[in-house]
This record gives sequence, C-alpha cells and structure tokens, in this order.
Amino acid sequence: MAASLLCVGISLQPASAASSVTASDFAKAMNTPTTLTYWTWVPGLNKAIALFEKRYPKIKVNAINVGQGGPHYQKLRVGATSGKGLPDLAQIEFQYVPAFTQIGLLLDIAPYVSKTFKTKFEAWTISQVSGPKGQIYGVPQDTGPMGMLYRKDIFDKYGIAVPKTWADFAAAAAKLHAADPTVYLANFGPNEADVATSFGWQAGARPFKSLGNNSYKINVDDPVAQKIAKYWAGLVSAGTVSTDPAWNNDWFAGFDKGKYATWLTGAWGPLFLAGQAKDTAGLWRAAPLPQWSAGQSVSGNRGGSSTAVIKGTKNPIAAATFAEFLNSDPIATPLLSQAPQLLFPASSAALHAPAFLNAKVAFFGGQQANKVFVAINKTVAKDFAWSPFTDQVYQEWQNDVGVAITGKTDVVAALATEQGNILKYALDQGFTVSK
Amino acid sequence: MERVILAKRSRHGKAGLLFVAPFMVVFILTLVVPLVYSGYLSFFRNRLVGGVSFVGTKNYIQAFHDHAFWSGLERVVGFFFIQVPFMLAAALIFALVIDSGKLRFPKVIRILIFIPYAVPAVIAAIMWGYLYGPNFGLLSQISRYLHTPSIHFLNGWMTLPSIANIVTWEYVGYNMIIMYAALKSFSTDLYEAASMDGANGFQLAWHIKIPQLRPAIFLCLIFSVIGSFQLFTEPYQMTPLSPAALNNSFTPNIYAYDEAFVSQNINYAATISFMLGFAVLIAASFVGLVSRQSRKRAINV
Repeated sequence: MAASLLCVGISLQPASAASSVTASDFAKAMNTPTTLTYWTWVPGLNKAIALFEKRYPKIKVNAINVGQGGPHYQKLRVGATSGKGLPDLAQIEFQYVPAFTQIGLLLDIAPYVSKTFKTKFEAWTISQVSGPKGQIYGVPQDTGPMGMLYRKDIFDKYGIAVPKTWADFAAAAAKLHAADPTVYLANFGPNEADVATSFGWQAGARPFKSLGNNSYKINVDDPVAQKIAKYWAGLVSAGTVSTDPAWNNDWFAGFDKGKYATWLTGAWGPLFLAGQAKDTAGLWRAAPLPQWSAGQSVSGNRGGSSTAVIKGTKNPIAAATFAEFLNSDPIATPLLSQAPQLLFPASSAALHAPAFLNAKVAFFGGQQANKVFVAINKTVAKDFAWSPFTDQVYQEWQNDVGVAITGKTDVVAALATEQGNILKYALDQGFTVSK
Repeated sequence: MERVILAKRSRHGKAGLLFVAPFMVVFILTLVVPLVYSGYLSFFRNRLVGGVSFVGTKNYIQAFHDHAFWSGLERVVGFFFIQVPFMLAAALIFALVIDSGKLRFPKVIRILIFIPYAVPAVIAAIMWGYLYGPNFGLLSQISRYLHTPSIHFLNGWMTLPSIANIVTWEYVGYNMIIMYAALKSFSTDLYEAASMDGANGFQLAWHIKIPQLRPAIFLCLIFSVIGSFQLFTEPYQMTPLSPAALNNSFTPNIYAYDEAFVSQNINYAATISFMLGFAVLIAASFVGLVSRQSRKRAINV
C-alpha cells in the first residue's frame, strides 16, 4: 500500500516527503483553509505554532487546555462515546496510548508522516506509539527517562559515594539514615504505582503483552516484579527509606527541607524540583539510576507524551503534518525545551542540539544535567508495553502492593493478589487472558 | 355560590402552577432526568471488548455481594454515629447560649461559628490537610515544638475521627442557624412565666426550649443522615495524604466515583449510587418514623 504511493522530491513546500500521500493531495490539503483543534496541557505553544502557520499560511492551529491528565482523558472518552466535540489532535501520554487505541480513537498516521519519521526518534520512543502491524498512533513529544537526582551536599557531608548498583544504594541508605535519622536516602511512596512500573521497566519486567484480537498475556507478579518488591520492602523494614505518600504538601516540603537525599524520577524531575524546592537550588546533581548488575546501563521511562491525531478528523494530512512538525522540526521543537514547558524532548535532533545538550543547568550547580539524561535516554529498554487499562492497574498496585510494602506485610502474596484482581478485571471487560 | 368558589380556586391553582413551573423545569432537567438515565444505565454493562449489553439485575446482585460497597456503607454509618451527636449537641448548645441573651456580641459569635459553612468543602479539606500533615503540617510542627509525640491523624483508627472533626467544623454553624431560627420563632410568654416561678437559664433551656426544638432537631438529624451517608469530598480530597487509609472504597460515593472514572465501569457506578440512595431512603425514613412517634408521645403526655 505505502510503496505504490511513494512520492519523491515533488512537494510544494520544503517538508520531508510523506510516505503514502501524493504530492497533489498534500498540496491540496495544506493549501485549503483549515482550522485544527489541538487538546493539550503543555503551555505556551504559540511560538511553535506560529512557525508552523508561517510555513503553511492556510492552516490555523488552536491549542486548547481542557484539563490536565484525568479530566482531559475523560473528555476524550465522552467524545468517543458521543461522536461529537472531538478535536483534531490530542496529547496522549505513552501509558494511555493502548487505552485509546482500544476504543478506536487514535488515527493511524503512518500513511501521512514523512518517510524519515522513524529516524527522528529513539527506537524505544517509536515503539511506545506503534501498533502491532506497523501503525503509528502518535508523534512522540517528550519523554521521562529515569535517573537519580541526588543532593551532593548531603552526600558529601556524610561521605556517601554515588551508588552505582542497587546493592550500593541499600548500603548507602543504611549509612545515611544511621548518620542522620531525620534524612532518608529516598522515599518510597505507597501511591507511586508509576514509579514501581518504571523500576520494573528497568529490571526487565514485561507485565503486559498484546497477542492481538483483544488477547493479552498478563504477568504482574513475575520473578522480576517480586525481586523489586522484596528489595524495597527490605529497605522499608530496615527503616532506611521513608514511606510518605507522594504528591501532597508534606512530600513537597520534604524536598525543600532536605528530608529526601535522592529522587528517582524521570528527566522532567529537575523542572519540578526547581519549582517546588527552590531553597535547594544548586545542591542537586543528576546521575544514572542504580543498576541491578555492576557495569550494566539500563533504564526505564516515567511519563512522556505523544501528539495523536483523532480518528474521524476531517483533516488527517494537515493534522499529521502539524504533529510531526511540532515534535521534530529543528527550529520549533527546541522551543519546547525552554521555559515555560521545559520538556525533555523525544526528538533526537532536539536532544543533540548543542544548546540543549551542553547546557549548564543552574539548578544542578552548573552540571550538564541534560547530557546525563540524554545518555540515559539511549538506555531505556525497547519492548515495554502497557495494558489498555493503566488506571485500573495502578489502582490495583496501590491497593495491594503499595500497601504491603509500606505496611511491612507479605509482598509476594500482595503481588499474587494484584495479579488475580487484574486478571479478573480483564476477563470482566471481555479480554482473553493468559500468563 | 359554590361554583364561584370553585372557579376562584381553579384560577388560583393555575397561577400557582405558573409560579412553580420554572423550578419544576430545572428540577426535572437537572434531577429527574439524570436520575432516570442513571437508573437505566444500571441495567446495562459497557465492556472494553464487546461494548454495551443489557444485563438486567446482574449489577445489583453483584453490588449486593460486593464487600467494598458494604464496608464503605458500614463506615459511613459508623461515621454518622461518631460525628452527628457531637455536632448536633454543639449546635444546640451554641444556639441556646446565643438565644439566652446573656452573651456579649451575639451577632459576631453567630457569624464566626457560621463562617466555616461558607468555606467550600474542597478548600476546607486542603486546609485541614495542611494542618494534619504528618511531617510538616502545622499541628505536627506544634507538637515538635512542644516535644510531644506527633499524631498521625489520617492513620488507622484516627482516620474517621479526624475526618469527622473537619465535617463537624464545617456544618455546626449550619445546624446552629436552623435551631436558632426555630428558637427565635417561639413565643416568650412561657419564658416570662417560668422566670417568675424562679426558673434559671439552664432550667429554661432544658424544660421549655429543647422540647419545643424537637422538630428542628429532627430536621437537622435528617439532613445529617443524608449528608454523612453521602460523605465524599473531604476524604477524597485528602487521599494523597494517606492513600492506604483513605482507599478507593472508603465511602460508597468514593467507590462509585472510582468505578466510574478509574475502572471505567459507569454502569456499575450507577448501580452503587442507587444502592446508596436506597440506604439513605431507609435511614431517613426511620428517623422520620422516630420523629413522628416522639411527637405523638409528646402530645399524649
């Protein structure tokens, strides 16, 4: 299908040739007065949009914030049921892409994006938006490769070396807490299901695998998950990590007041700390996540979004072209890494732009923090897949495993309960499941 | 003569209907229609694979055997018993004291007690969430300063009382105003007669004011039954502070909300809402029954 409609070099505008759209179709679409509606909670996109509108004067893009996270997705779901009120484009986080392809809301834009599309992003990012038959359900926008942000001043004060393995990390946690009982090496939040998932991503857990035809292999309590749960349960039992619930005022204050010496989080972490822990500016440094084996270099991802085209849009070509432009144009995309968005871009070109790569970040005492994360980004494992009901999975983890780890009860039994409940939910929803 | 009276009545009837019409339209659109639609939804299922299907009473049977629903219902009933008596007693005492005329600045005190009701529940929960914060919240800072052990407010057995504290703070003023308005409507003849017989303020309150307040107290009781069974905002808003204690089936309304927006089971959420509605109906009817019996007894005395 794609091969027969290849066009090379005949395009009216200096854009990469689209893979399945003829030059005349492309020209027609981009020269028809069109207004695209784009639901996104990324602020300040007007400069990038202005660049797009300059190149294609007949296309106008309206970026609208309809809520962040939950409310945004709820509106998409309502639109999917009623068939009305849907935008042309929407921001969809990687962890929710399968949920929305499940209800058939995302358009396969493989026919509309440029031939060089797959070369523009890291392979693991592409796999997050890909379908089993080569479909592309979104253009990767930003990612959150997991690293370790640590307080250099606290490490220096108590003679803690930057841990390279998880064994080092456990030892450092004990040493630090013994030296100062008011400080913990890290916090394990009982409501941070997404962090636990990222740890699994790093360690090789693959809880969900789609076998096609609404059939899934579900394995949330495999040996890798058990290893990770037992590891953190051990630290909690020893009292060397705190178990404060995350994302509330108390937790924010914990960073500001130096209760937590590290934060294991995605590349967007620095932006958050800069806002919430102003008193600690300049004291943090970035480093890779501890590894399970010495010398390894693997990470997981936490967060990250794509720009998806909604099925049923009257302007698929214009929408897909905008999505690709916004997230891979050499001039527009780097704008997203500046204030106010400060996104960690998915675009390889933007990641390696010298201004971004070599930036000396003041919040990190002048460390080239972006370089650290760009290197980590290359080590994110490729084949991690999400279920079509991520919210339910996170809820189950929190109810069963989060409670067990922080409540110091049997974590293996809790994982088995989680597995049982997720299997039951999947069957109730009509999926075929296997282990 | 009779025909003239009948004609007058039907003209008044028509005018009455016209005045009520705007309210009825809004009432039907915003209350009755969603209620009927919700009831309709509760007889169906919408699965991620397979879409919508009619399941009859299956959802209700599932809800009947659903431990999460019943434990949540048990919890709000317990909440009712630990929160409402304190709140109504406090509201009664405040109303009586302000009505006694022995207070300086009664209007100011009335307003101060009522102000928490004007604070939106979400803001109240956020505020109290800060106060309750186990590490850096105000109360724990104070206890650190005083070298007393800090209390984990939203943990274990303290969870429900801590929430009851917030709800009491919010609604004591509202209930006080209802009772105060009732007190203000009583004739003062009885008070004068009693004072002449040598009754003091406390005896006035106990023997004359409180018995007359029975209807107002029962009204507050019915509101409180409905309110406590529907408990949602305060625990939901504070879930990030203590997700283990304030889990997703802490109260039936939280459970319904979670089913709808996390598990995407809107139909089952509708079912849970109706089950809760039936429970509220039964409880409120029981209170109404007791109120009528006590009134009968009062008349027969």
